[in-house]
Amino acid sequence: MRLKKLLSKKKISITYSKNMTFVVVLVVVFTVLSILRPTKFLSSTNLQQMAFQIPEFGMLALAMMVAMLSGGIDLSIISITNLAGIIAAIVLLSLSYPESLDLSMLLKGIMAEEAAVTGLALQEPTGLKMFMIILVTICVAVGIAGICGLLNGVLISIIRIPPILATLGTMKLYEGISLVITKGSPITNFPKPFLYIGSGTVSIIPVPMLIFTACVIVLSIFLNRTRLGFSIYAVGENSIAALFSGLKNRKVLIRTYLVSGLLAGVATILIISRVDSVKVGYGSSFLLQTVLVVILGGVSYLGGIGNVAGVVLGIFILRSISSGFNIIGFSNHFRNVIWGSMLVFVTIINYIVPKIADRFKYKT
Amino acid sequence: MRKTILRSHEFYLFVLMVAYSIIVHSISRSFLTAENMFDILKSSSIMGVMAIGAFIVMLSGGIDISFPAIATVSMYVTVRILERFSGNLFLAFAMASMFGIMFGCVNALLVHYFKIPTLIVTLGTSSIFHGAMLSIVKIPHIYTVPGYFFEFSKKYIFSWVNSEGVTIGFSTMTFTMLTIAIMTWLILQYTVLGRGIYAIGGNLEAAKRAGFNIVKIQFFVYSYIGFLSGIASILYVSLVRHVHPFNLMGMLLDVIAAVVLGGASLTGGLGTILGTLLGVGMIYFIKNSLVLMKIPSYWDPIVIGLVIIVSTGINAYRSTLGKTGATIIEA
Repeated sequence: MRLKKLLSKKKISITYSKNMTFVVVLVVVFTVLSILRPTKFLSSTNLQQMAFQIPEFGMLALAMMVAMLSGGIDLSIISITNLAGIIAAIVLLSLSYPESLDLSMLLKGIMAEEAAVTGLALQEPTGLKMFMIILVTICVAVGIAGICGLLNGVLISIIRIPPILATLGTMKLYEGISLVITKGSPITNFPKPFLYIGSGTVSIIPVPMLIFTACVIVLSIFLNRTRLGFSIYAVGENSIAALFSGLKNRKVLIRTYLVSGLLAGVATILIISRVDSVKVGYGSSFLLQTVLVVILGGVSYLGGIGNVAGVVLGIFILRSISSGFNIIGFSNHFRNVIWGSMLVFVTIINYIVPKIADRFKYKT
Repeated sequence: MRKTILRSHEFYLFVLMVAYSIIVHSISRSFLTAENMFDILKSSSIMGVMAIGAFIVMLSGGIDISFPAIATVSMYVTVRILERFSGNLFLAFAMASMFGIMFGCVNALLVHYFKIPTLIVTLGTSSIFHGAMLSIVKIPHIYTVPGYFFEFSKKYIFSWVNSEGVTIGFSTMTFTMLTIAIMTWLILQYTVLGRGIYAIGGNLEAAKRAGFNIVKIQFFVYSYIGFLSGIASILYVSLVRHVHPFNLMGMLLDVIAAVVLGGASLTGGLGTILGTLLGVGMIYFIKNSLVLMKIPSYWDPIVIGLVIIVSTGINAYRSTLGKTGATIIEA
């Protein structure tokens, strides 16, 4: 039913208005913060910092969104990011400094000190060779993340484990693999050209922002204009109906989690090239926030409803608020309280508003 | 009767535990000893109490991931208060479980009246409870825990001294866990409330039509896990003897692993208390044996993750086998 409505103009106009409210909220948040702390919030360093932080968080949120559109959830995205990052970092370092670093040392976890001592003296490759190495690293990160996503998909669609439990299990599994590989120590000191991906700028626009924009465009085309994208909505909306209208639910679900994994892989690249290090457990506080931002962005936790534009606006709102908290000086713990309450309140509002609208005979 | 026992999940789990312990014992001789077994019984009682709570929630068709936060907060607040004023162990249990029930009611309220999925509610409330406590407290560690807390974990219902002079015995902590388990089993088996939990887990709409009081059941379920988290937190203090606001937060996945290993299903209506306790036992067998076989603790998350995946996988596979064509289409 809703799928049909989605096609009709009426639904599209309502989605449009929902996104309009997000724009209004964003403008309000932005103005309030600008008025409260004009010198700090509107300073170029703060704005640029936000522009660097939005993409990596945004990619994770998009990964979560794809899973939630299909009616599931992917709790393992942070662990996937860590695992893919660690393997990519090992590949990157061992390709860049083939003679001076041996892999066994890397795996023993003494990489960090070793690199800090000798890293400065090491000669990193240049030109085409460096470019190829970076390309390989990116492929490895995205590939590993894709494999992790694929495993999630197989567990959920073929073995039929509920998405929460399957991804809870793989979350722990991937985290464990990363721990066994690194023994918990960070890997740092990547070659300079690689860091350009995460911290470089093209005139004043940060490179990660460009990558994020590209991914947003590709993802919205994928979700709205391709067969698979449309099937994800259909399966999320009503899986039995989707099955009877000839969709292969299992294939769709596997690919959904594959896409979610791939997006987490892109997030990996952005994160490790910005922070110049990779460590088990980095970004674990993002998990709650990604769920929050996806629901804030108008995606239904039951699946089937929501669009990329809403989530992207949600990301901008959340990051503005977050940077506002930073400026005001809230502690991390208190921020968690606010994220938690926002998650609960937004879901309550999402539940209540349609009921009130029904009562007043408005069409939703 | 014999056939149903042989076919039950608990039987398989029990056989698995026996087989596993024989294998481990052949590698490390100190595994299958009375000392080690009673030690496992004692230390697993905290997780056992929590797992019973988590199991009840899963039985009702939900999932609660806020219980570690509830346990941590009620533990911290209780010890903080009792550290200042004189009290006793009974008061400690009563206070902690009261706090737990309070937090549980908040969850129940949100789950029942706003129909928010339990995962999202408890994800939110978990960070609210824990974050609120952390932003209020100034001194995180409490080392000055009153003495009567420790006394409890040292007591034995019965005990003996072995040839090496080590006291082995059936701890009061294990006794507490078993009492709670039996109490819960009686509630589930012989009260309308208990049958209602199975009913809403099986099919909420059908249970509603059949006249079960859904509000009452859901409030009971979520306050019960709060209550048990409170009890478990005091058991924990009495064993560990100091309090840190992050202490119990890591238990979430282990407890959930134990519950699903015990045969409970996330869709609700399936599983038994016995299965849950065996699941807890299995998790502790694995953890304990990893230590005895000298495997580094880095491997812990991998093993726990695999246990969750494999056990939920087997459950899911069995449930598809057991059902007819009509329901296989679901999901």
